[in-house]
Amino acid sequence: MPVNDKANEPTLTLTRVLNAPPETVFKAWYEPAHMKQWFAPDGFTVPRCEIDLRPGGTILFSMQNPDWNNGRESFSKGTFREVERNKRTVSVVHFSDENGNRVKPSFYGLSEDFPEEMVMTVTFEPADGGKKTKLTVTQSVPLSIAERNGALIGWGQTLAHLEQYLTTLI
Amino acid sequence: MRALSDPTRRAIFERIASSRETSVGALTQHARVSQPAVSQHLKTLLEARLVIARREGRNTYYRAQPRSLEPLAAWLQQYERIWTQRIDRLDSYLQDMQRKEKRRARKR
Repeated sequence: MPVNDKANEPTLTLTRVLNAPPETVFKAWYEPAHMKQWFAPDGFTVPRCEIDLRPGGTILFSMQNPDWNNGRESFSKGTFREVERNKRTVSVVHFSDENGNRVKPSFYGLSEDFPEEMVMTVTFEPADGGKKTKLTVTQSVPLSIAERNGALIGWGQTLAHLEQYLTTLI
Repeated sequence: MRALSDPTRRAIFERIASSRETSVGALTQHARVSQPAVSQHLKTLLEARLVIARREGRNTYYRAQPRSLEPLAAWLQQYERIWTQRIDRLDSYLQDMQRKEKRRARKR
Protein backbone atom coordinates (compact mmCIF):
# COMPACT_ATOMS: atom_id res chain seq x y z
CA MET A 1 0.00 0.00 0.00
CA PRO A 2 1.57 3.35 -1.00
CA VAL A 3 2.10 5.73 1.87
CA ASN A 4 1.40 9.35 1.20
CA ASP A 5 3.02 11.66 3.75
CA LYS A 6 0.18 14.16 3.50
CA ALA A 7 -2.34 11.44 4.22
CA ASN A 8 -0.66 10.85 7.55
CA GLU A 9 -2.17 13.99 9.01
CA PRO A 10 -5.59 13.57 10.64
CA THR A 11 -7.67 15.91 8.52
CA LEU A 12 -11.12 17.36 8.51
CA THR A 13 -12.43 18.94 5.30
CA LEU A 14 -15.71 20.72 4.75
CA THR A 15 -16.88 22.08 1.40
CA ARG A 16 -19.87 24.27 0.65
CA VAL A 17 -21.08 26.37 -2.25
CA LEU A 18 -22.16 29.78 -0.93
CA ASN A 19 -24.47 32.17 -2.69
CA ALA A 20 -22.08 35.17 -2.84
CA PRO A 21 -18.97 36.00 -4.88
CA PRO A 22 -15.51 35.16 -3.44
CA GLU A 23 -14.75 38.84 -2.61
CA THR A 24 -17.85 39.01 -0.40
CA VAL A 25 -17.17 35.70 1.33
CA PHE A 26 -13.56 36.67 1.95
CA LYS A 27 -14.67 40.01 3.40
CA ALA A 28 -17.24 38.31 5.66
CA TRP A 29 -14.49 36.03 6.91
CA TYR A 30 -11.63 38.45 7.45
CA GLU A 31 -13.21 41.75 8.49
CA PRO A 32 -13.67 41.55 12.28
CA ALA A 33 -17.05 43.34 12.33
CA HIS A 34 -18.41 40.73 9.90
CA MET A 35 -16.60 37.74 11.33
CA LYS A 36 -18.04 38.39 14.81
CA GLN A 37 -21.53 37.96 13.38
CA TRP A 38 -21.20 34.35 12.33
CA PHE A 39 -18.00 32.71 13.55
CA ALA A 40 -19.33 31.41 16.88
CA PRO A 41 -20.89 27.96 17.00
CA ASP A 42 -24.46 27.66 18.37
CA GLY A 43 -24.88 29.21 21.81
CA PHE A 44 -21.61 31.16 21.65
CA THR A 45 -20.68 34.77 20.92
CA VAL A 46 -17.40 36.24 19.65
CA PRO A 47 -16.61 39.17 21.98
CA ARG A 48 -13.16 39.77 20.58
CA CYS A 49 -11.68 39.57 17.10
CA GLU A 50 -8.48 41.22 15.89
CA ILE A 51 -7.06 40.42 12.47
CA ASP A 52 -3.77 41.42 10.88
CA LEU A 53 -4.21 39.80 7.50
CA ARG A 54 -0.79 39.26 5.95
CA PRO A 55 1.76 36.41 5.98
CA GLY A 56 3.23 36.37 9.48
CA GLY A 57 0.28 38.43 10.78
CA THR A 58 -2.02 37.10 13.47
CA ILE A 59 -5.68 36.59 14.27
CA LEU A 60 -6.84 36.67 17.91
CA PHE A 61 -10.43 35.82 18.71
CA SER A 62 -12.49 34.74 21.67
CA MET A 63 -15.63 32.71 22.15
CA GLN A 64 -18.02 32.86 25.08
CA ASN A 65 -20.94 30.82 26.35
CA PRO A 66 -22.54 31.26 29.79
CA ASP A 67 -22.43 27.49 30.35
CA TRP A 68 -18.85 26.91 29.31
CA ASN A 69 -15.53 27.73 31.01
CA ASN A 70 -17.54 29.40 33.85
CA GLY A 71 -18.90 31.89 31.34
CA ARG A 72 -15.43 33.30 30.70
CA GLU A 73 -14.03 34.03 27.27
CA SER A 74 -11.81 31.40 25.62
CA PHE A 75 -9.16 32.78 23.30
CA SER A 76 -7.49 31.31 20.23
CA LYS A 77 -4.68 32.73 18.19
CA GLY A 78 -3.71 32.01 14.63
CA THR A 79 -0.64 33.00 12.63
CA PHE A 80 -1.04 33.36 8.89
CA ARG A 81 1.40 31.39 6.78
CA GLU A 82 -0.16 32.31 3.44
CA VAL A 83 -2.57 35.04 2.46
CA GLU A 84 -3.91 35.29 -1.09
CA ARG A 85 -6.68 37.83 -0.93
CA ASN A 86 -10.08 36.50 -2.10
CA LYS A 87 -8.48 33.13 -2.82
CA ARG A 88 -6.81 31.30 0.01
CA THR A 89 -5.37 31.54 3.51
CA VAL A 90 -3.31 29.11 5.54
CA SER A 91 -2.89 29.62 9.27
CA VAL A 92 -1.65 27.75 12.32
CA VAL A 93 -4.09 28.01 15.23
CA HIS A 94 -3.69 27.28 18.96
CA PHE A 95 -5.46 28.18 22.21
CA SER A 96 -4.21 31.27 23.99
CA ASP A 97 -4.83 33.66 26.87
CA GLU A 98 -6.30 37.12 26.29
CA ASN A 99 -2.88 38.43 25.28
CA GLY A 100 -2.33 35.75 22.67
CA ASN A 101 0.13 33.70 24.73
CA ARG A 102 -0.14 30.00 23.98
CA VAL A 103 -1.96 27.81 26.52
CA LYS A 104 -2.62 24.08 26.55
CA PRO A 105 -6.11 22.83 25.60
CA SER A 106 -6.46 21.63 29.21
CA PHE A 107 -6.35 25.31 30.29
CA TYR A 108 -9.89 25.52 28.88
CA GLY A 109 -10.94 22.20 30.35
CA LEU A 110 -10.40 20.16 27.20
CA SER A 111 -8.89 16.72 27.45
CA GLU A 112 -5.12 16.24 27.45
CA ASP A 113 -5.25 14.48 24.10
CA PHE A 114 -6.89 17.42 22.35
CA PRO A 115 -4.60 18.72 19.59
CA GLU A 116 -2.48 21.66 20.68
CA GLU A 117 -2.16 23.11 17.23
CA MET A 118 -4.03 22.86 13.94
CA VAL A 119 -3.23 23.97 10.43
CA MET A 120 -6.27 25.63 8.90
CA THR A 121 -6.58 26.16 5.16
CA VAL A 122 -9.50 28.11 3.72
CA THR A 123 -10.00 28.38 -0.03
CA PHE A 124 -12.48 30.60 -1.86
CA GLU A 125 -13.04 29.47 -5.46
CA PRO A 126 -15.41 31.20 -7.86
CA ALA A 127 -18.41 29.08 -8.87
CA ASP A 128 -21.33 29.67 -11.21
CA GLY A 129 -19.42 32.25 -13.28
CA GLY A 130 -18.17 34.07 -10.18
CA LYS A 131 -21.62 34.68 -8.66
CA LYS A 132 -21.07 31.98 -6.10
CA THR A 133 -18.15 30.67 -4.06
CA LYS A 134 -16.98 27.16 -3.45
CA LEU A 135 -15.62 27.33 0.08
CA THR A 136 -13.31 24.63 1.41
CA VAL A 137 -12.16 24.55 5.03
CA THR A 138 -9.47 22.06 5.94
CA GLN A 139 -8.16 21.51 9.43
CA SER A 140 -5.27 19.23 10.05
CA VAL A 141 -3.20 18.32 13.05
CA PRO A 142 0.56 18.33 12.38
CA LEU A 143 1.74 14.75 12.74
CA SER A 144 4.39 15.72 15.29
CA ILE A 145 1.67 17.10 17.55
CA ALA A 146 -0.67 14.20 16.85
CA GLU A 147 1.99 11.73 17.93
CA ARG A 148 2.93 13.77 20.98
CA ASN A 149 -0.74 13.79 21.92
CA GLY A 150 -0.78 10.03 21.75
CA ALA A 151 -4.47 9.58 21.14
CA LEU A 152 -4.37 10.84 17.59
CA ILE A 153 -3.17 8.99 14.57
CA GLY A 154 -3.02 9.70 10.90
CA TRP A 155 -5.93 8.61 8.83
CA GLY A 156 -6.08 10.84 5.81
CA GLN A 157 -8.28 9.39 3.12
CA THR A 158 -9.12 6.32 5.16
CA LEU A 159 -10.94 8.31 7.77
CA ALA A 160 -14.27 8.72 6.03
CA HIS A 161 -14.30 5.03 5.29
CA LEU A 162 -13.36 4.25 8.86
CA GLU A 163 -15.96 6.55 10.38
CA GLN A 164 -18.57 4.87 8.24
CA TYR A 165 -17.31 1.59 9.56
CA LEU A 166 -17.52 2.84 13.15
CA THR A 167 -21.17 3.74 12.82
CA THR A 168 -21.96 0.20 11.74
CA LEU A 169 -20.29 -1.27 14.80
CA ILE A 170 -21.02 1.02 17.74
CA MET B 1 -2.47 4.79 19.75
CA ARG B 2 1.23 4.98 19.10
CA ALA B 3 0.63 1.51 17.68
CA LEU B 4 -0.60 3.20 14.52
CA SER B 5 2.32 5.60 14.02
CA ASP B 6 4.13 3.07 11.80
CA PRO B 7 2.92 3.21 8.16
CA THR B 8 3.26 -0.54 7.53
CA ARG B 9 1.37 -1.34 10.70
CA ARG B 10 -1.28 1.23 9.81
CA ALA B 11 -1.67 -0.37 6.38
CA ILE B 12 -2.08 -3.77 8.03
CA PHE B 13 -4.68 -2.38 10.41
CA GLU B 14 -6.57 -0.71 7.58
CA ARG B 15 -6.69 -4.00 5.74
CA ILE B 16 -8.03 -5.80 8.79
CA ALA B 17 -10.59 -3.05 9.34
CA SER B 18 -11.81 -3.25 5.76
CA SER B 19 -12.64 -6.96 6.00
CA ARG B 20 -14.68 -8.78 8.58
CA GLU B 21 -11.92 -11.12 9.55
CA THR B 22 -8.56 -11.97 8.04
CA SER B 23 -5.59 -14.31 8.49
CA VAL B 24 -1.83 -13.72 8.70
CA GLY B 25 -1.43 -15.39 5.32
CA ALA B 26 -3.85 -13.03 3.61
CA LEU B 27 -2.20 -10.04 5.26
CA THR B 28 1.28 -11.15 4.20
CA GLN B 29 0.17 -11.40 0.58
CA HIS B 30 -0.75 -7.72 0.56
CA ALA B 31 2.04 -6.40 2.77
CA ARG B 32 5.48 -5.76 1.33
CA VAL B 33 7.12 -7.36 4.34
CA SER B 34 7.80 -10.92 5.47
CA GLN B 35 5.39 -13.05 7.47
CA PRO B 36 7.38 -12.76 10.74
CA ALA B 37 7.30 -8.94 10.31
CA VAL B 38 3.54 -9.06 9.81
CA SER B 39 3.22 -11.22 12.93
CA GLN B 40 5.29 -8.73 14.89
CA HIS B 41 3.02 -5.85 13.77
CA LEU B 42 -0.03 -7.92 14.68
CA LYS B 43 1.40 -8.45 18.15
CA THR B 44 1.66 -4.68 18.63
CA LEU B 45 -1.89 -4.18 17.35
CA LEU B 46 -3.15 -6.88 19.73
CA GLU B 47 -1.36 -5.25 22.68
CA ALA B 48 -2.94 -1.92 21.79
CA ARG B 49 -6.30 -3.74 21.64
CA LEU B 50 -6.86 -2.44 18.15
CA VAL B 51 -7.42 -5.99 16.93
CA ILE B 52 -8.59 -9.22 18.52
CA ALA B 53 -7.53 -12.72 17.55
CA ARG B 54 -9.60 -15.84 17.20
CA ARG B 55 -7.97 -19.23 16.94
CA GLU B 56 -9.53 -21.93 14.78
CA GLY B 57 -7.52 -25.13 14.51
CA ARG B 58 -4.03 -24.14 13.33
CA ASN B 59 -5.12 -20.78 12.00
CA THR B 60 -5.57 -17.46 13.75
CA TYR B 61 -8.01 -14.87 12.45
CA TYR B 62 -7.86 -11.17 13.20
CA ARG B 63 -10.66 -8.69 13.56
CA ALA B 64 -10.51 -4.90 14.09
CA GLN B 65 -11.74 -3.33 17.31
CA PRO B 66 -12.86 0.11 16.17
CA ARG B 67 -13.94 1.14 19.66
CA SER B 68 -10.28 1.85 20.35
CA LEU B 69 -10.55 4.67 17.81
CA GLU B 70 -13.43 6.40 19.50
CA PRO B 71 -11.36 9.25 21.00
CA LEU B 72 -10.18 10.26 17.52
CA ALA B 73 -13.61 9.90 15.95
CA ALA B 74 -15.22 11.88 18.81
CA TRP B 75 -12.70 14.66 18.43
CA LEU B 76 -13.24 14.91 14.69
CA GLN B 77 -17.02 14.80 15.06
CA GLN B 78 -16.88 17.66 17.55
CA TYR B 79 -14.87 19.77 15.12
CA GLU B 80 -17.09 18.88 12.23
CA ARG B 81 -20.19 19.91 14.19
CA ILE B 82 -18.70 23.28 15.12
CA TRP B 83 -17.59 24.00 11.57
CA THR B 84 -20.88 22.94 10.05
CA GLN B 85 -22.69 25.37 12.37
CA ARG B 86 -20.28 28.15 11.51
CA ILE B 87 -20.66 27.69 7.78
CA ASP B 88 -24.47 27.56 8.11
CA ARG B 89 -24.29 30.90 9.89
CA LEU B 90 -21.90 32.35 7.34
CA ASP B 91 -24.28 31.27 4.60
CA SER B 92 -27.23 33.15 6.09
CA TYR B 93 -25.06 36.10 7.15
CA LEU B 94 -23.88 36.53 3.55
CA GLN B 95 -27.49 36.98 2.45
CA ASP B 96 -28.00 39.77 5.05
CA MET B 97 -24.73 41.35 4.08
CA GLN B 98 -25.58 41.42 0.38
CA ARG B 99 -29.10 42.77 1.01
CA LYS B 100 -27.64 45.63 3.07
CA GLU B 101 -24.99 46.39 0.48
CA LYS B 102 -27.61 46.54 -2.29
CA ARG B 103 -29.73 48.89 -0.20
CA ARG B 104 -26.73 51.13 0.43
CA ALA B 105 -25.88 51.12 -3.29
CA ARG B 106 -29.44 52.18 -4.18
CA LYS B 107 -29.29 55.13 -1.75
CA ARG B 108 -26.15 56.49 -3.41
